[in-house]
Amino acid sequence: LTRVNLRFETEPLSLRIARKMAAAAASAVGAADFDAQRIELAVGEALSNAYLHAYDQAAGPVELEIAYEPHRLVATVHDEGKGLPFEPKFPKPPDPGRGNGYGLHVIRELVDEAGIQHPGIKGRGTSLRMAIRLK
Amino acid sequence: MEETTPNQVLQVRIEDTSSVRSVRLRGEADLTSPAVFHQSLTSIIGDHRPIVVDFSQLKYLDMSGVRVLEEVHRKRTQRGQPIALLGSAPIVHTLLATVHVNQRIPVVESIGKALEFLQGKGRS
Repeated sequence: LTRVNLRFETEPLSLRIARKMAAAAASAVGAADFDAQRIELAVGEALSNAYLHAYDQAAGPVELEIAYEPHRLVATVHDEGKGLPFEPKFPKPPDPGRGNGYGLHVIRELVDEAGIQHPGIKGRGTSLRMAIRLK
Repeated sequence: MEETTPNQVLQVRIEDTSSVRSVRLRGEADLTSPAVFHQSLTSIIGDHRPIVVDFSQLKYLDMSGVRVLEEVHRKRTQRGQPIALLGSAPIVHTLLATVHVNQRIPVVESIGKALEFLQGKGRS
């Protein structure tokens, strides 16, 4: 198992750099371009959730963990914020009248496996785990 | 007319012909570019011409951008002037399909198809 951990603040430019690193990690282990784009967008939405909901658009600590397993890449976003303002589950199907939860729905549809935990695996905040299978 | 985000990841070019106004987005629309993305799209809400938002050179779009797009489309539709989207990268198309935006806003392959929709079915 190979792991890379990044710890940074939820500042928009940092979030962009982090999602691009997720895409680069996917490419580095042989993911197809579209699969790298899938994990990039899923990680981007998870980081947006942390920025928008866990910290109310303020800076707060977030960690991106990328783990490579044979035939699988797993990205996990941990925040230490207040959690989501709605039930931490993956809504399906999306409701156009509903303002929240779309990001989680997108994540669930983009990746091959997804899980959400609140409080997070560190006992606080939220942890969002996303995995793509590598062909 | 062209606007660029401070870190140059999103470029917006607005082009007019006699029959249509095109808003061409190039690059990436994410949380670092909400002002340019929002301003460029909301600036067209009151325009009387058919509007085509050209996504063919947009490489990345997230839900923050989708929400702006939906807001603009809803307001234009209330005025009887919906918008059409031109092209999209596979990952952008996947996002639009995942949240069913492509069922509310037509995604077409040419300006001609966009005009066909905007001057016909979209106005009814």
